[in-house]
Amino acid sequence: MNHVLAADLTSTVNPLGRLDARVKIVGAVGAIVICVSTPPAAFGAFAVYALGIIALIALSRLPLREVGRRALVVVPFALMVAAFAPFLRADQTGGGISLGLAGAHSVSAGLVVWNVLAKSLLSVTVIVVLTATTPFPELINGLRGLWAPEIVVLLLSFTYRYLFVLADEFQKLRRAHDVRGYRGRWLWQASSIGNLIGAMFIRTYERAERIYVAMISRGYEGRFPHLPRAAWRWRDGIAAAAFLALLLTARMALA
Amino acid sequence: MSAPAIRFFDVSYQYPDGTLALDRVSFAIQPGEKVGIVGPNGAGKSTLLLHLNGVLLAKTGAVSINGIEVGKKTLREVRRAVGVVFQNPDDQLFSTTVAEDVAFGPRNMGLPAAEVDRRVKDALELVGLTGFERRSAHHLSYGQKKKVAIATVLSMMPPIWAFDEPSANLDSPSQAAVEQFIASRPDTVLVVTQDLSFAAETCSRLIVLVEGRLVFDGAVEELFARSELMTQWHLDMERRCRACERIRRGRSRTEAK
Repeated sequence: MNHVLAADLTSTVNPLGRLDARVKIVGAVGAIVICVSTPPAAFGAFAVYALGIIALIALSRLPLREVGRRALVVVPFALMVAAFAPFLRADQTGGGISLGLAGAHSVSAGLVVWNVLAKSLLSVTVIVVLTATTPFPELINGLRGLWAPEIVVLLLSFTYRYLFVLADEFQKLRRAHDVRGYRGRWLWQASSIGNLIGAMFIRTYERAERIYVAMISRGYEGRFPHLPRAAWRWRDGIAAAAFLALLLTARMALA
Repeated sequence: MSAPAIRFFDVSYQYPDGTLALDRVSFAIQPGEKVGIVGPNGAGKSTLLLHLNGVLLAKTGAVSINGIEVGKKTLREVRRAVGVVFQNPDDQLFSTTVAEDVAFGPRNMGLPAAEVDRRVKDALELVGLTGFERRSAHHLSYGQKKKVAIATVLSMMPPIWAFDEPSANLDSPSQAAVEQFIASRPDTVLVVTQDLSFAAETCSRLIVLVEGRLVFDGAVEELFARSELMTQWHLDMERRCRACERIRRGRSRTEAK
């Protein structure tokens, strides 16, 4: 079945794919924080970030086009934010987080649009590279390894596992509508969308109950059994530290 | 004589909406026996299954597993003793990888990591899915998912197995594989199904439930000898056999021409 999310980029047969997931998560979050905290006018710094990320994409042998296409999903949201730029007061830092590093500075509307677009695009590209070089189970394990709250990790892993199952179920329901002549063109047909959502809710709820029964049947007592943590490799940590150091140097020197 | 593996004594269960799903059901299954619980939709088969490991607790009467009465205090012991393979493997496989799913039960049992790894390896080998450890359940075929679901129970090594509609939605080769698996187990096996032919192939004894009541408990041959009762209880095997016979007779008539 076709899903919006079906195309799987994930590949691990590259230098980035072999890195410890924990290191990659810390690296990605670190890179985003550095990027977001950069003053908007520091064009040189942004150029270095972009080059750094392109280097990562090249290193991981990901198709640049596909990564770009995925990163572009953020543009509509960023533009929404940017659309409000003219309404900001000139003495406010619009759309950026200064973290107190740069002090107050006035920005023009054009700079705000640039600021929002550049930072969101770079940040999302980092996330795309992270998820494209890390199989989801490893990502989940990495989060667990970084002491992310258990409930967050569980929610993520269940969402990942059942997203496609639910998408299939939704498509089946919609098909059942369509084969009986539903075209969703008129306002009075809107109620059947409501029914569709209701049916989805009930099915999801019942499935959750069945999953829970299957879990307790295998001895689940409220605590998810922990996986052994993978051994820590210094090599991986040094790689991430070097990458972050490069970005941080650009952040400090060019801002 | 040792205690029966499974014993239902006068068990009734009424759902909150008033439906009486089980009506004074009693039977005992000895260790190593393979028994099919059959009956039409809504006969109470699934309700009965959920009593085996205490997901539902008997409102009246008692269920005991290996001589231990199922109750709030004995749930852990009972759930270790009874492994349930549910109908829809998508409900049973909730982890991100096959290996993690198969390891879920043994980890809950508190086994050491090396033993968990060994059991995962052995279980996957036995269902013929060695090498699938890091795959995601989402990317497997339905038949493969069913095998992984069996492996998730296998890794817990329960002495008693319960299968809920094991043949549902499976193609013929996958059904045969599950049949063979059940036949190969020395354990006590309960097969809850409306697929009478599957039950007859895998079990030596059948229990028929109709509207929550136990109406038959005996050898497979004994049930099949009473075709009028099978028709009365809507056990579709009869209908299929007749269809089969009729088609064969029809064929031979045309061939004779």
